[in-house]
This record gives sequence, C-alpha cells and structure tokens, in this order.
Amino acid sequence: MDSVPARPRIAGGYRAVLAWLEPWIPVPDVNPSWWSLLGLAGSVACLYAATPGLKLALVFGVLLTDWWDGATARRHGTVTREGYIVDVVIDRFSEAFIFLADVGHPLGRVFFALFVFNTAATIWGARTGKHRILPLRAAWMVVLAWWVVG
Amino acid sequence: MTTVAHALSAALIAVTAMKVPPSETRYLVAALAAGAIADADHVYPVLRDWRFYRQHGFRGNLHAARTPVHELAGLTGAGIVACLLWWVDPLMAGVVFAAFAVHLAQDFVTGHSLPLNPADRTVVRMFDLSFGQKVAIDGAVIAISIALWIPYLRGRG
Repeated sequence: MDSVPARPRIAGGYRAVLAWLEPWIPVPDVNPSWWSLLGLAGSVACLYAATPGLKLALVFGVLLTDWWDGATARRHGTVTREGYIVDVVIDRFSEAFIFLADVGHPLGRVFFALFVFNTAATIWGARTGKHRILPLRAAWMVVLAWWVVG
Repeated sequence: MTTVAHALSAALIAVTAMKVPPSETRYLVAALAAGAIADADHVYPVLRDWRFYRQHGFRGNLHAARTPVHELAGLTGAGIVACLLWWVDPLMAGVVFAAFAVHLAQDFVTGHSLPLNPADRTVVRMFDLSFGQKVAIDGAVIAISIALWIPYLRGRG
C-alpha cells in the first residue's frame, strides 16, 4: 500500500488550481500541525458563531488552513504517512464541530450524518489505501452562502 | 490530559456551545460524564498489562492502554449514538456528542494516538510535547475551565 493514499479524481480540479498557486504563496517552515490546530480552533469557533456569514468566513479559513498544512509539508519535504493521518483525522474533527453548530437545521443533520459516513470511510480507507472521502465542508460553504444570500 | 481537565473543559464547551441554561442540571451532569467517559477505556488495558505499567510507569505509555473508543472509531460511534438520540432528546444528543468529541480532539492534539485503530495501528503525535509541557497545559486547562464555569453557573440564579 502507498504510504499516502491517492486522492480521487473528483478532487483533481480544485487541487490543480491550488497546486498552480502554491509556488507564489509564502509557506513558513513550521510544524504543519500548527495549521491543523488553527483549523481545529476555527471549527470549534463555528459552534459559537451567530450568523451564517461568520460561519462561512470561518469555514473558508478552516479550509485554507487545511490546504496550508499540506502545502507546508510539500514545500519543506516533510510529507509522511503520519502527516496524512493527522490531516484526515483533524478534518473529521473539524467536520464534527462545523456541522454540530447547525444540527438544529435539517440540512445540518444531513451533513452531520454524512460526517459520520466520512469518519467510517477514513478508517476504511486506511485499510484499503483508497482516499474516498466526501468534500463536505466545501459543500457546506455553498449552503452557508445560500443562507447568507437568502 | 487528566480526566478532570477533560471533564471540566469538554463539558464547558458542550454546554455553552449548545446553549444549555445553567439551571438544567441533568444536561450539565451528562456533559461532565460524556467529557470524562472516554477515559474509562484505559481501565481494562491497564489491568491487563499491570506488570508492564508497574515496571515502566504510565508516563509516555498510556497511549497503548486505550481502545478504538478513544480514536476515530469512537468518534464514529458517538456520531451514530447522537444521530439516534436526536429522535429522543436533540439537546442531550448535541451536549453528549460535543463533550465526547472535544475530549477525543484534546487527546489527539496533546498526546500519542493510534487514530485509525483498528484498521491501522500507526502511532502519530501532532506535537512533540515534553511531560512538563503536558502538565502545564493540563493545569492551564483546569484553571481556565474553573474560571469560566463560575460565571456560567452564576446564571443559575
């Protein structure tokens, strides 16, 4: 099994854009886990955010930190299987807190149920070596944007 | 982190995030219990491997004395329980899940974990914290939690 499972083809589009931008963005040589921790804090902050607009900004920031930790590892040559595991586990915790914040809404409950599916898929992916995880937070940003506009 | 630090901090986050009124004692008790309960899974492995722990101590070894309940599998299970509990008591579901999830997240950030156990037994740690740093974090979490519980509970009237 490859040490870091390959991403599915569906993620190729936006990842290609990010890969193109990556050389122009400053990436300090720090432990990538600091970005993960910042993203986790932003996810917990969603529990206290009162408006969809604020939640949208927080989730956007969380996704930025999610990209930044990987970018840091790539730029400074520290890509490891342990780093991949930290990344996917923090992503699941992040989803838990982001969707828990809106679990009073039917859509929030649907996304929460999908997060449970994602955690199971993450564990299954470790066994099979296939990264098959739904991009729930990106989809949730569309919902939040819809609430902001509506 | 110690169980006391987990219970105080995770329960506080759960009840404030879920907007539980401080007069709702059963939700507060449930939050404290859910914030601490994950540590119960240390009991059996510690008893089973008691000779090892008597010889080597708990420091730096306790990550081996935990079950998948403490890992992503536990988060999955808690999510399923929450989804079922929502049909009975939505507020309780949110409080219990939040406290349990915060506990697991705290342990993942501050210690050694086997997060994909039982599918993969790779040990990971986000930060290379010394014992002294862990003790300092634990003390700070307890102190800050108590300082924040006091104004919250004053709202009981």
